[in-house]
Order: sequence, then structure tokens, then C-alpha cells
Amino acid sequence: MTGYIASEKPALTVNNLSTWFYTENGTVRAANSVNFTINRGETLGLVGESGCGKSVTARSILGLIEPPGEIVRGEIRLGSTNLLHLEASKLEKLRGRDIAMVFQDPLSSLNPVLNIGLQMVETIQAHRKTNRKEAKRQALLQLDRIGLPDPERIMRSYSFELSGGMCQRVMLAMALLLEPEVLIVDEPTTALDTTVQTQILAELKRLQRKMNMSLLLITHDMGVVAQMADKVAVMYAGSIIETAPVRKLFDHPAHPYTRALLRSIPRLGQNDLTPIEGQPPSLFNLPAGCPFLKRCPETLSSCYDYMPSLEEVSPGHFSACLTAHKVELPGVSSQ
Amino acid sequence: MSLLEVNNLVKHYTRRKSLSNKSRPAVHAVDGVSLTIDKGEVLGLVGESGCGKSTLGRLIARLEEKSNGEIYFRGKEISSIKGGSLRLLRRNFQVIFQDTSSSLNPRWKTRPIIEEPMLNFGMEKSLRQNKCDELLDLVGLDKSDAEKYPHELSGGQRQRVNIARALALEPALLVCDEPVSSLDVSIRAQVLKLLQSLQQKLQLSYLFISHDLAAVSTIATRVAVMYLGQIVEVLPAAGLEKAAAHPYTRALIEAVPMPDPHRAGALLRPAVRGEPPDSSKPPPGCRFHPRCPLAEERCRIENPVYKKIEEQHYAACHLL
Repeated sequence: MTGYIASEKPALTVNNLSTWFYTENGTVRAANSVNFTINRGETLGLVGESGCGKSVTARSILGLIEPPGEIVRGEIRLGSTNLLHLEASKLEKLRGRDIAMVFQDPLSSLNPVLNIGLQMVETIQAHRKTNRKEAKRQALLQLDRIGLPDPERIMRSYSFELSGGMCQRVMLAMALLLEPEVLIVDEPTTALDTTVQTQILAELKRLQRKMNMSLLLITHDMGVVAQMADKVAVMYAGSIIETAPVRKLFDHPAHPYTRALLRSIPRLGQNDLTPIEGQPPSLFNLPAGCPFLKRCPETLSSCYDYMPSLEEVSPGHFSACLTAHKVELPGVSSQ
Repeated sequence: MSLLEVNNLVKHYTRRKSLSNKSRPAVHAVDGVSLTIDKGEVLGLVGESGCGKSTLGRLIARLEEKSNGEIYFRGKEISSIKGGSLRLLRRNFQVIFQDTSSSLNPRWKTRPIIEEPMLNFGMEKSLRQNKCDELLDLVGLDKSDAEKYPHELSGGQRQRVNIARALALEPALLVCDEPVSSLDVSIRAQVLKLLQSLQQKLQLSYLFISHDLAAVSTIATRVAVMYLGQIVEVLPAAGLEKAAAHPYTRALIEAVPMPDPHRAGALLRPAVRGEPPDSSKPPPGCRFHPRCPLAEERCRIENPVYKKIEEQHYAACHLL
């Protein structure tokens, strides 16, 4: 099997995005000069630990940053539209129709006092001029497509009557109702059992292929990324520190953090663990230099001076590490 | 003789009548579980949420009263011990929970938190202080952390405080209920490694409860797999991914997302569908049959019994 089949037309481009939060205790630089593109039909896995800025990046894309947070600079393009310069009313129209998002906690994303059917019909009618009957038909169809048994009953149910896995499928069905070009999923299966996780990820992949949809998959689970993504961006302390096609990243991780992260995950049939010592730095007033500095086993003196920028280490593979630029990576073919 | 032996343990939760005055069936959280844990052994307990694994852990630690069955600790029946003797018994069991902050008093600093169990058992002040310093060092906390409140510590550090407190009375058995699930990826490995090295250094026994099969397999000696209140398979942790015989265990293994993009695609063909049924209405016959890809007629009728697959490896499935 070769890599992914995706056209080279970017569906979503994020350029130099910085989102900061001005709090009483100082400025939190939650996302710093974030860059990535996702082509049509492609999946980008955005990985990192909690607080690394992956969710802030997603919320920035959808214009969901509220004070004290602010997008201080950058550009977010959905196709050819710059979302940051869009009027609120236009952005509202676009959200849900062209770009949609599924959050981690499905129970708090659904309204507990309205039944599922009503919420789905509302979503459709907010964007399309259809009558109730037609909207209901579309909702039923979508629930069926996502693999939920007995859609009629689900439509009549309230969120608390469904399991976490079923709620997340409902959220996914709602996000896909209007067939968006780009779907952002933020830790969609983290709260679920692995047996349910696989089912949902499988449905998501199937529908993505069918609709040729672009996917931004936010997760901390390297396993999920390996299984789902075409490209990966690794975030640490607000910055993307490495990005590469999925196989390159797992086979030849260039950044010391990515390498340490891959060594630290428990794997079946292996009982030696190599943890990363220390903790991620606080995002309040990050010092100059590389944010991974204190936990890094291979520092140079210049690591203390400035934050390295992403440099290409092999075609399509970028790493923000001063040491990575120098070493010749074994086995990486330059095409 | 095993350190701990559990025989046919049962816990049913009866529920109040619903508003429409219909009586509701009891929830069979733990339904006839037997297991043993030897000294210095780590028994991993895995299963989907709601399978009863936490209830089983709480029953063993005597935080929950059994409905039926027996628990033997060092050969002595302990499931109906009460009062002062229960209090004395408790030194031997300690629990580490998933939620690192709700298990620590937010208004207490680290030192009194760690010293409290020793105070409960009347240890002298100087002894307590020495032991506390020793424990801080043992779990990898700094001396200065002793004077901090839980909110000043990170999740990983808080879990280290929980571990230190649990070890204060030198227990024989630690019940670890999802001890690393709430932690970040890079911290998870640190705490797992700490639990691993403490176990080896102090010859501790763990009941290690988790939904994360990969994490369990790195730390456990044997793994018990639970489904709807019953244990369906017990097997040695080493080589588990190959040796597992029960269709449910196989499904759990296949559902672990492999951090290997060259083996992508396997995940996209889920081995089991659906979710576990309501534990107040367990299906007849083998409880896994409605989701089992291999189920036959007799699976729907007869209860499977345990079969010995190999030394230390038992599974309850008609097809084995």
C-alpha cells in the first residue's frame, strides 16, 4: 500500500498563527507561529501533551477565541477565504457548512433538554432552506451512515439516555450533516473505550474517503495518529517542533522530543519504558531558547539563545532543532 | 499459599424503584469472580468501562461490602471482618486512584498528607518525619515539595504524593485503579516506571486496574480480563498478544491503536461491534455472545466454564 491519495490543493492553510492570552499573571503564549496546510482528502494529526496549544490552534481556526485570548497575528485560509478577515455573520454561515468541529466531551456538546432529532434538524435548518420533514429525513440518513443502529429511536432520545460512544457518533453525524470540506476533531475518542474507539475511527475514515474531506485530528495518542494520519505535526509548548509524512515521522523522528515521546509510550509485548524526565514548561513568559531544553538529552550551547525555526531535514520533513539540522539521517531517501 | 485469594466474589447493587413504581433489576457489578495474587506479583485487571473492575478492586480493599463470596488474605477470611480488626487489617491494603487531585486534601500540605496514615497508627513524630523524608525520596519528590499544597504540584507529582502516602504503612498489597490514566503521555511513563521499580525494590503486590492493555502488559506478571462482572481469561502478561485465546481478549488486543503507521489499516476493521450490554440484564449463556464474531448456538444457551490452556492460562469460552 502506498501513501495517501490526496490532491495537492490545500483545503486549509494556517500561516504564522499566534494566539496569546493576556491574563493577570502574565501573557500565555498558547500558540506561537503555527504553520501547516491540509490538502483535500488528507488527514493531519496534530499531537502533543495537554497545554501544548493544540486545542487553542483548533479554536483559533474556527474563530472561537474569546478574551483574554487574542489572535495576535497570522493567516487562516479555508480554500481561498481568509477566515481572520471575515465578518462575524459570514464566519457563522461558514462554520458547520464548510468547516466543522467535534469536541472531546460529547455529553457537554449536546443539549440535554432537547432530543437528538430536534438538535439535528435545527442544525440543518440553520444552514439550508428545507422543511422539517426533509431535514428529518437527512438527519436519519446521516445517523444511519455513521453506523448507529435504530436511528429512529436515537432521534427521539436525549443525550443522557445514550452511551458516551453513541453520543460521540451523534456529534460526528451532526458535524457531517452539511458535508464540510474540513473537519476538525479534538480528541474525539479519548474518553471512550478502545473497542468503541476503533469503531468510531473506522467510520470516520470511511466517511472521510467517501466525501474526500480534509481532517485535522487532534490527539495525544501516537497510536491513533499512526493509524489515521497522512501527515503529523508535533506540538510542544505552543510551537510545532516537527512535521512530516506519517511514516517518516515514526521511522526517522528528527526532533529529540518526538524521539523521546515515541520511546515513552507503552507498547504491547514490550516491557521496557523510557520516560521523558521533567515536565513541560509553563507557558507564562516562556524564556528564550528551545522550550524542550530542560528535558533534552542532546543540548548545544546555542539552544539557550533562541527558539530554532522549522528547517527541512529531508523532503517534506521539518524539524525545529539545532542538532537535527546537522545530522545526516540514516535511511531517509531524498527523492 | 497466595497472598490474596478471592473466591466466587459477588456484588449486586439493588436499585430503588423507578418513579413509575416499576422495580428494577439489580446491577451485577461483580458476578462470581475468583482470583489469586501471590507475594511480589502484579495482577493486571483489564476490561471496558462498566465491566466491574473498579468495584472488584474496592471489594478487595474492603471499601465496599460484598454481597457474597470470600476473600482470603494470608489464608485468613477477611470479607466480614469489622471494627477495630478491620482497621488493623487496612494497613495491609492501600489504594491509588485515578483522580490525582480529589484523592488529596486541598487544604493540607504534602507532609501531613503523607504522615497521616502513620499518625493513625500511632507512630512517633520523629519517626514519622524520617519516614516521610524517606518516602519523598523514594517516589522522586523534592524535599521542598513537602511544604507545598496539592494545587502547587503537577498531576504527575500529585500521583507521586498518593503513592508515597500509600506506601507509608508498608502495605503488602496496592490496589492501583487507573493510576496513570489521567496523566499526560510523557508523565505516564514516568509514573509507570516508578510503580514498576517500587514493586521490584519493595517486593510489593499490585492489583493493577486499567483499561489500557498496553500499559498493563508492561507492568503486570499476569493479566485478568473482565467482561460484564466476570473474568473471562487469565494469562501471563509476557507474550499476551500472541497467547490470548478468548475472543474478547483478542478483540481488546486488536483495538489497541498500534503506534506503527506501517500497520495502519488493521484498526479500520474492528473485531467487535457495539458496546457491552446493560449489566442489570446480562445475556444468557456466554455473556460476550451478542458481540462475539465466533458465537455459535450453544454460546447463547450454556455458560462456558474455565479451561486450562497452558500453565497459569485459563479461559472461559466454548470454542477453546
